[in-house]
Amino acid sequence: MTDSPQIGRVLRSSTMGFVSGCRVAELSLPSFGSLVKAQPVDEREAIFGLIYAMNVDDDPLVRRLVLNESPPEAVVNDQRRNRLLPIEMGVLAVGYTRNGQIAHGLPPRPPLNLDPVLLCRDTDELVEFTNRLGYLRLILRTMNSDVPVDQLLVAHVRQIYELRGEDTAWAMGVITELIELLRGNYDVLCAGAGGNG
Amino acid sequence: MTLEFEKLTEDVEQMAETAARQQKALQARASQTLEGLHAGYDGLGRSRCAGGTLWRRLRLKFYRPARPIDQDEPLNAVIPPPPPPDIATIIATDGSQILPDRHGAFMYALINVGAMIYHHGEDHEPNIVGRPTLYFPTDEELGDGDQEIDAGRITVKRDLSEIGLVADLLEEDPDLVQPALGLLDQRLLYWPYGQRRDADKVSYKWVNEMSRIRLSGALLAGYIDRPGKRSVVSLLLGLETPTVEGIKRLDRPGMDMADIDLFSKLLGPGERSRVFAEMSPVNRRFVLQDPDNEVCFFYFNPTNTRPEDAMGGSAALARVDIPMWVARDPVAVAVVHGLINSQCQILADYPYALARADEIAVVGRHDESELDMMIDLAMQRHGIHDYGTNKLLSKSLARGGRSRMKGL
Repeated sequence: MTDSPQIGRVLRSSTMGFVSGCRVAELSLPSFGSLVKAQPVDEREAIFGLIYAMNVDDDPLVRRLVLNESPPEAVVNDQRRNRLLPIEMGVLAVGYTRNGQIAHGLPPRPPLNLDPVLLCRDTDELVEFTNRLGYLRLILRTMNSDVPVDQLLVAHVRQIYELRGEDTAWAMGVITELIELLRGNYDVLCAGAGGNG
Repeated sequence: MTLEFEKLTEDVEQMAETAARQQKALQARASQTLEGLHAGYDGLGRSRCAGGTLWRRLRLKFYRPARPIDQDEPLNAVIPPPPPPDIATIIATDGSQILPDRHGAFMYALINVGAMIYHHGEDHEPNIVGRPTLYFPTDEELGDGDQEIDAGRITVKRDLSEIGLVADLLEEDPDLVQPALGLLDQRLLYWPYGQRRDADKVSYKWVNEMSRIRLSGALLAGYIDRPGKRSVVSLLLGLETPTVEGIKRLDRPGMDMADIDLFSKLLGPGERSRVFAEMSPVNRRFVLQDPDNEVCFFYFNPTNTRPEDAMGGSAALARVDIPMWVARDPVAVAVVHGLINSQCQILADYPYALARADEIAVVGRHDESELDMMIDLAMQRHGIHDYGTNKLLSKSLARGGRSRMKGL
C-alpha cells in the first residue's frame, strides 16, 4: 500500500468531470491517463477520474520572455514558482465512492472548488477500482468530445498494468472488453490495440 | 448604444496628418539642436555655469535647464553599458490603489504596494512582497471631518509607500547581497501633483525616505519610461538666446521638443548620456533639506534599437533619476547603469523587476469586486446595509454585457 500524494486542487467542476490546478512543483507526479480522485475533506463522496488533458497557459509576459534567447535562471524560477499561473489538468469522471464502496459511473454531485486532488497510488484502492471494467464505457462515451479516447485508453491501461504489478490477466481482460465494446469502431480499436503493443 | 465611429473618420485622419506634420518639424528642430549639443557651446564649463546662471537670472517659472554635474564628460557623451556586478540585489517597488467612490456602497480607499527582491547573478527565484492598506473615513489622517476621502491624498500616500517599502526592506535585512539598488517606477524629484497645501510636508517625507535608503548603504534610482522632461533642451536653447524674451519665445510649452528627441539620435542599445542635474525650485528644496539628495539624471536606451533604425525618428528612451550621492561616484553610476541595462535585456525594453513589481501591486477590477464583497459581508455582520447610488447601479445595468442563449 502506497500513500496517494496530493497533486493539486479542484478549479472548476461538473458531474462530467473537473479541472484541477497545480503548481509546477507538483507536476512531476501526474501524467496523461493517470487515475486521480477529488477527495473532499468532509463527508462528501470522493470522485475518481482520468487525466485526459494537461494545459500550461501563457500570458503576455511569458510571450515576451520567450523571445529572450537565454533568460536568467532566476527569471525562469520566478515564472514557475512565484507567478500565479496554475497548470490545468482536465479530469474525466469515471467513478465515486458510496458508503465506502467504489462505484463506476458519473458522481451524484461534482466536487467543490479547492477540494484536494490526489493521485491514486494506493495499490488496494487501484486494484479495487480497476477489477471491474465498467468504467471503460464512460471513457468510450466521450468519443465525440475533446477527449482523445484512443490515446487515453492506451496511457491508462499501460499505467494500471504496471501499477498492478504487470498484471497480464487484467490487461487481457481489458483488451477483450474493449474489443467487445468497440466492435463497430475499428479506428479507435486499432489505435488502442496498437498502442498497447 | 455603441460609439458612432463613422462620424469620427475625418477627425481621426486629420489627427494623423497633424501628428505627422508635427513630428517632421520636431525632428528637424531636434537635428538642429543636436548640433548645439555636439558643439558644446564653447566648452562644458560655460554650459555648466550657464544653466545655473540663466536659471537664477531669468527666474522664469517654466525655465528649468539642466546642469552638467561635473566636467569629466562632454555634453554629447555616449557611455556604453558597463558589465553589471557579478552579484547584486535589486529591490523594485510599485503601487496601485482603489480610489474612493462616492457612488459606492461604502467609502473606502485601498493602497497596494508590491515589491520584488531580485537576486542578480543568482539562480533562485526572487522574493515577492505585497503590502495592502485599507483607508476608511474614521481614519484621523484622512477623515477631514466629513465622509470624503481625498483621492489626491491617497495618490500621495501610495507614492510615499512605494519609496518607504524600499527603505523598510533594506533596513529589515542588513545582510542583503551588496551592491543593493532600490528601483522605483517614477521620478525621484517628487512633488505632488495639483495645488496641495501639504506639498512641502509631502516633499519633506519623500526626501527623508531617500535619506533612509542612503543610510542603509544602498543605491537608488527612479526609472521613467519615455519622459517628457526638456531640461537639456532648455539649457541649449537658453545658451542660444540668453534673454528673457528669447527663452520665452523658444521655450514656451507649445514648442514641445523633449530631451529624448535629442538623445534618441545619439544613444544606441544600452547606452546612456552623461549625468545632469535639473535646476528647479523643487530640486533646490531637496538640496536645502539634504545636499546628498539633489536629484540628477541620465538618459538611457533600454531597447535594442539603434538611433538610425528608430521608427518615426525617436527611439523609446528612458530617464534614470539618481540622487547626488550616487551621481558623484562613477563606480556607483556604472553599477546602476549596468544593473538597469541587465534588467532591460530580459524583457528587451523595460526592467523585469519593475514589470513584476507592477504585477504584484496592481489591483484589478476583479480584486476590487471581491474586496467590495468582503466589506459588504463584514458590514452586514455589524448590521449595516447600504447600496451604491442609483447612478452606479444604472451604470452596471447598462454596461453589464449581453449573454447568448445556450443549448436548445
